[in-house]
Amino acid sequence: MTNVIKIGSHDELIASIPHTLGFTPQGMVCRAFGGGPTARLDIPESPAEMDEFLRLLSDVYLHQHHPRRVALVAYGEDGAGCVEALAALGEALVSADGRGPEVGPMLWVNGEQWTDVLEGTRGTVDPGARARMGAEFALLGRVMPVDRREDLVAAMQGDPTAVAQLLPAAQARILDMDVASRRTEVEWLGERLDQFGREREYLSDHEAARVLAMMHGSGARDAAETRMSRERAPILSEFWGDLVRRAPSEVRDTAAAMLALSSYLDGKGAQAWVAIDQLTESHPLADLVTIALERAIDPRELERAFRPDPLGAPMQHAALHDTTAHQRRHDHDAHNGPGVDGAGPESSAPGL
Amino acid sequence: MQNTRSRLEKRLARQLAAPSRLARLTAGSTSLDLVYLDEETQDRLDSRSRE
Repeated sequence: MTNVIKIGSHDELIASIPHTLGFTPQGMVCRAFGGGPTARLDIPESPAEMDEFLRLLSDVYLHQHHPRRVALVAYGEDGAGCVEALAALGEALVSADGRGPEVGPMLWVNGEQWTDVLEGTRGTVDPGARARMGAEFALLGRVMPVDRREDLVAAMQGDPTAVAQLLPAAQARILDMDVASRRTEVEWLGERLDQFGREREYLSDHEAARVLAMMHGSGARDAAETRMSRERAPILSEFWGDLVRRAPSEVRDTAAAMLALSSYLDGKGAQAWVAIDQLTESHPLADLVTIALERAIDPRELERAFRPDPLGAPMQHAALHDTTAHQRRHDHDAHNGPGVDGAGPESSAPGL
Repeated sequence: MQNTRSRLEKRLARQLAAPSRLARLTAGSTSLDLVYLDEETQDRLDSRSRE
């Protein structure tokens, strides 16, 4: 096989990690091979934090996922803390009665310097390895990583001024719509999302205000959500990321929740968390994405919910006629809670 | 101001309703970042690691 990415040395392993995560990390990185996700978690700074650290990562690699091998790479200036975390985590994973993955190598990385804590060897990351990994991942269409996790937050900030000026009129327009007009508006949203997928044509300010004005409705969200898939997630993250940057604060939460969903489906857990952190209050979609992230659910598993429901189309059509008024009545109600047991009010609704 | 769940959100909620021993895995301020590579990238990395 000639088109494999060659990770045959510590340098190449270290150089590959920012491309895998999307940013240059601090903390513990568990790089999985042979299935399962790659994980990043802060290095614990107290015994209580160490217990939680070991519980979280043991659950991921001993119970929820079963990779063949996990390489442990601890990033930080605090060598003692990094080595202690490496040793404790390595012990937790290999002492699992044969249920755990192979573990190794175990590396402490401080800047460009690495130390193999099992072999006692040291080295400096070869710039050539970084260049090679950059080229390899670029060939796979991966976006170049940002310098720090915090840069993911900065990338979600923008200027909402232009859309804010247009938003009141867009919201008034939505409120004046009858059922048929709202259905047409939802159809326009779906078509506009499809157009973006084909042409990458970003929304004008008027279109952005129009989308943001309708997205508080479950019907509009459903039209957007049902276009999600793991395959489409990267493109839809561009769409919703653009809206998060341009949205006024009062309508930004839903765009951030949509970005969290597309990021999660794309396998980018850090970006999904950062999007969720943008929300100002609880949101039904963001609450579900949070649960999926917290449970370390593989997005391929949750993607099943996005497959067409064989009964969905006729039910959706029938529901359309009696839900818009219902929707309006509930616009000022508190939405149903973040529980996952299906309890609480549920719209049946594709209306706005 | 938010409202009720969409159809897909209800399906997601049902799918997430199954009991999980990992519930509230990262409760509190700890955010565990998990990255799932696409199949093509994962396959290439795994292929090399077996060589």
